[in-house]
Amino acid sequence: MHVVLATLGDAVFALAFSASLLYLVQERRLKAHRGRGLLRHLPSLETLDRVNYTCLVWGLILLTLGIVSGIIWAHEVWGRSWSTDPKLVFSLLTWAVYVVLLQGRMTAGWRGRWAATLTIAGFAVIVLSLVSVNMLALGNHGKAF
Amino acid sequence: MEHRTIVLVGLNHRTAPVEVRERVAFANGRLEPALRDLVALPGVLEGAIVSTCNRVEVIACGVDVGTVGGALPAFLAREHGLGEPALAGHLYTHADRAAVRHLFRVAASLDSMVVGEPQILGQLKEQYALAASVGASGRVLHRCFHKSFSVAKRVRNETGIAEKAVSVGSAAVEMARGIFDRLEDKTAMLVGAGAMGELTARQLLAQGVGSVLVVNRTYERAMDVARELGGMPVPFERLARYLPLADLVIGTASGDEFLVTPALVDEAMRERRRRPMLFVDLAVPRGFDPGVNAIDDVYLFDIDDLEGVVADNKGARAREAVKAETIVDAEVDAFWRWFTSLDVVPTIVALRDKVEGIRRREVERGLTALGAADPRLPEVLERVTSAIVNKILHGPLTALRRHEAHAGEAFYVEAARRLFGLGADPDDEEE
Repeated sequence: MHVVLATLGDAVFALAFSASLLYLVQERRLKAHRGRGLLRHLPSLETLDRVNYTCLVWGLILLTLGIVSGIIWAHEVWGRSWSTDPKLVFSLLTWAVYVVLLQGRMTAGWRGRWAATLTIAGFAVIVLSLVSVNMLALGNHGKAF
Repeated sequence: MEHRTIVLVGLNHRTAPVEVRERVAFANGRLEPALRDLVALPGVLEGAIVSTCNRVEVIACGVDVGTVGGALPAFLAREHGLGEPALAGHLYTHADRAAVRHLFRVAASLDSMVVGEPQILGQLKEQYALAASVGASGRVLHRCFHKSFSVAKRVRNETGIAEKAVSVGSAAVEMARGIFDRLEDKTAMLVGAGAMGELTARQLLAQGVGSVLVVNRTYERAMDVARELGGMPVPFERLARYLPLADLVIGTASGDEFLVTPALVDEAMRERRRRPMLFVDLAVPRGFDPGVNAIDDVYLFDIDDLEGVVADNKGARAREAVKAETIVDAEVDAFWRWFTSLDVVPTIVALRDKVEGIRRREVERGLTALGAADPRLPEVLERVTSAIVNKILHGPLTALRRHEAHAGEAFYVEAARRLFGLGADPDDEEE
């Protein structure tokens, strides 16, 4: 359960990341006043921004559930709910980035370029966590794989 | 005899500044009484008026170029309570073929500020229908206007002249599509109610843009254009207040300073919580500060960017213009042949009358000189002179009748009129 939620969450964030990347590409194209070319069939900025927002909400829900289920699972198995496991630290960091971003989107009206940049930054943390934890085999998560 | 003529008097965006044009333009309700006044002028048989924001054209079919051409400028001035000198220098007068040609070029949008813009044809149709409905136009103008509509259609179908106007608008639409997903919930703002902006706004509306705000220095004009587009007029001073509402801003106005500055847009973006804005600056010189493009989520295109979007082939454009003019010329010729054929019967009658009159007088003169020497002399003289006259006239009359039947060479009617001195004054038969 915990693994499924966490993987789904990462996948949704990957989608948000792709949308943001496309957003920045499309944005550059428009700013540079290039009308035609291979990229003219990109989705509109509005669409990409909406995808970003939707993915952000769902990714955050999945990530939250993933973290909570992980903590509960850890409590049951190890008898303690909190640890300095690197995966958890990274997850909480990722969570923090996306919560700040979502908060900004919902209240301060962050959107467009800034939102896309933050989404990409958030995804960088996920990638960093995947790389460091799973590949370098740090902490409990590393051993599990 | 009655020799019909077509005269057109008018002014347009090239001959008159907007201050003059707006004083001479006919407001909606004013056109009908003006048309009645027009056909009441001495010498005017038929009349029609074309009045748009860029031109006023009074076209009349009458009996004498001098009379009609002289009456029209005075008519135009009187209708608007102006002195004739106020219009001097702004008006042009075209007679006959030139008048027809001018009308055809206007209809085909070759004389427009934005060459190829399609609205003028609709306005022409509407205003001609009005002239027809009040009975101001007749057979000649009916044919002339309907020909002009088909010329416009031919030019549109057979040349690429319409593509320039369309291209700027559609490039703007294409850019909007890159930013906005759906246009239905978007608001466009028109800054300056120029022809190009109006056209672009129309295209945006056709693409589904939800609503339009029209900002203009003269508020009345903003109201006019807003009414036409189904939008909302905004006073010029409130531009900054309404800017946050606009997702797309189309500019056709410029001034000594930029109308839209980065500071203004920054403020607007804050107020609209950074929802993206598209600025399209069609004005020359530019009306929006180019620095606006540097603001995040704000996209600014000027006219060159848009024309760059649609590859601009000047050679092709010039070729299209030549093609369009050729179509116009051919249609003017065709119309003119028809128009002059209307004069064939009156010309034949006049020619016969004139020659017959000469013959009879000369016979009488001869008889008086001779005295009644031989009782058979009057009869013989009558027969001989009639035979001479008929044989001489046979050639010209046959040529004229053939012209009437086939709407052939306009040349013959004109030639007959000149050669035999069939001028405006039918009683002037003495040498």
